[in-house]
Amino acid sequence: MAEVRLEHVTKRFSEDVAALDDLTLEVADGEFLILVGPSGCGKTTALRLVAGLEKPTSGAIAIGGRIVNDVTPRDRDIAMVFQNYALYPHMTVHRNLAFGLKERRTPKPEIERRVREASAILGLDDLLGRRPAQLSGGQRQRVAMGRALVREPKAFLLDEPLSNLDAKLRVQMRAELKRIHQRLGITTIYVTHDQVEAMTLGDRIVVMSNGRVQQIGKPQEVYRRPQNLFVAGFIGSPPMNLLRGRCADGSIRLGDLDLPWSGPDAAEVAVGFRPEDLRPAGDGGPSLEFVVDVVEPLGNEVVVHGTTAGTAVESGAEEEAEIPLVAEGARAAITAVFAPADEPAPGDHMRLGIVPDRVHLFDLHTREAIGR
Amino acid sequence: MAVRGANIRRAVTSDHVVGWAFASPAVLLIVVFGLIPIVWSALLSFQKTNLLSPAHWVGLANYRALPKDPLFEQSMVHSAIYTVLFVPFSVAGGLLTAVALNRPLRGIRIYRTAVFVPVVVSTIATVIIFLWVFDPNFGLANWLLGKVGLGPFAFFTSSNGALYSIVAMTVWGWIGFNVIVYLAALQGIPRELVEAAEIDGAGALGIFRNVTLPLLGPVTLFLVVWSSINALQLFDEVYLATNGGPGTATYVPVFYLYKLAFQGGIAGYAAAIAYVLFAVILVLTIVQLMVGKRMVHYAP
Repeated sequence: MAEVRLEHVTKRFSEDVAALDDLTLEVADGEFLILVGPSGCGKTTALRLVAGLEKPTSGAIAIGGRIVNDVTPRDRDIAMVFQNYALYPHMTVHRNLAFGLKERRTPKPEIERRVREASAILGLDDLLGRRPAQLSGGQRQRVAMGRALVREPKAFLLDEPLSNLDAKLRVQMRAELKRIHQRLGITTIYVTHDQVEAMTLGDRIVVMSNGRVQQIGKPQEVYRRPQNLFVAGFIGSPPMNLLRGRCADGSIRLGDLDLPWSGPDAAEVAVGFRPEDLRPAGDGGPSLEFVVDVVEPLGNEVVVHGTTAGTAVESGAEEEAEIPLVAEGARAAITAVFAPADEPAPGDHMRLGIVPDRVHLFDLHTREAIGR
Repeated sequence: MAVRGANIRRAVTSDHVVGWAFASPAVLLIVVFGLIPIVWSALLSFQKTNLLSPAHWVGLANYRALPKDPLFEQSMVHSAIYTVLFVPFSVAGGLLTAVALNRPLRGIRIYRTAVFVPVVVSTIATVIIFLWVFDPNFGLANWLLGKVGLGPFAFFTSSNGALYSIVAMTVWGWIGFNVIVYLAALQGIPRELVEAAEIDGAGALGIFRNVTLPLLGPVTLFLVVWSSINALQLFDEVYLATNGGPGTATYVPVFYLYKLAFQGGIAGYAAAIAYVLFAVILVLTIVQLMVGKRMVHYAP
């Protein structure tokens, strides 16, 4: 086990585009660190740099205190789980697990011991004689995991290991990964674009976009206090509502909403509130006018899509342009999450109550959070 | 009248008729140059005929005569030696060349093209080149071998060396085909598998032996079967380079049966040789496929 350090690491595949731009990161010994971001944000490049499958254009990478820039993948003593598993199709599960140890000239009884151990942890005992083609997606994922486990490496690198599984299996494997990490405590770097995986698995998460780190922190911290508009829009599902507002004369104004404000005046800001912080307004308190468009009951909660007077702000984390629910430009789409008892009907006009403490503010020019 | 015209038009334009119309040129070619000769030569092999005068039915006499024919035996032995050398050299040579060319070298396209050129050059041109290269007195080969203190060799004109000279010439002429097939297969090997092996700790040789080679299995099997069939049907190069000589040193079955049928007028016996050769190829191919099935892994 070891800590992994990246210092000012930049990777360019061509002159003008940096896939990874000046990344500095420290993964503590035994930590489970998540790199999360949309496709093309540089998270996989970062992982491949640690693995040694790519060479950094500049900067230093250290594993266990040793600079490994010029060390081959084979000698870095790391194990990697690939997105599509990369199991050797012509080898049985047993040979797939044992291959790395055999290539490193591990004594036979030791290989056998470690393969048995990993297969017991992952429930692969009955599959050792099979080939990858005879396995289900979940079983292949376990074998890929097992191939990393038997190596007892300094660090695990996982590249979207759950993305090829169906939703139910993904939830199950997610918990299993966490259990394995809790049991073995091996330093793990985990790449995903799925923020649920990021939130649930990581000791810390690194939110990335366009080759740059946007925020590093504990999952709850990143969720509660996003440092910029991108993180605000990326972390959270459904995403944070972001509307154009104005801070002046001790209040934040947004449509017909008026919130107390003690900070400096700023002409224009993005005002953000999480869907679950919006409730049907009771008596008193600040509130926002809302027209319900679509209601999605999920059993334990109800996701309500609708519009309010105002202009939406793009966070830069949108997967694609949203289809406007209403034609008039003067209204912005927002989403709220209600308790099942509060389920409204499409077309309802209502007011949404807002807790002032839960409002996030961002500077529209720097796109950074404004402290309150 | 109008009704009948419409019926004819409908019949002519139906899918069935149109389909056969498109297929007929190919079907005609296969029947005339494929099916008819196959059936005809099968019948010939049971007859005594010179293709001009009336034939006699002789039953299995042609086949019975084969084991007692020293020239037939000799040509089968030559063919076996040729196949045993040609197949490994052209397949393994093709693989090694493909591996060497499967990297981002400067001018890689030129090398790849150069390797494939001999395949598209006609046999007669290949033979003329090699007659010159292997000329005992003025050839490039002896000149180069002389530089390292070897030779001179008689090549095509030596009864010991002629068959091996043909092996060398045909390997040169055919290796490009194997290289292209292997190059395509190499580019189809998933990059993650190689990367996974790298991380697992395999060196270049370990990756080649444990990942690359097994994944090329299906292609290797195909090339071995294909090259074996071609090797056993060797004719053009022998006919043009040595005409079976010196003496009968490069007699192979197809050359021998050609001489018998079209120069000796012994067509029935020649047809029997053709059918024996067919049986040998069939059995060898089945054996290769059976062995291959156990060794080769097909990706899902």
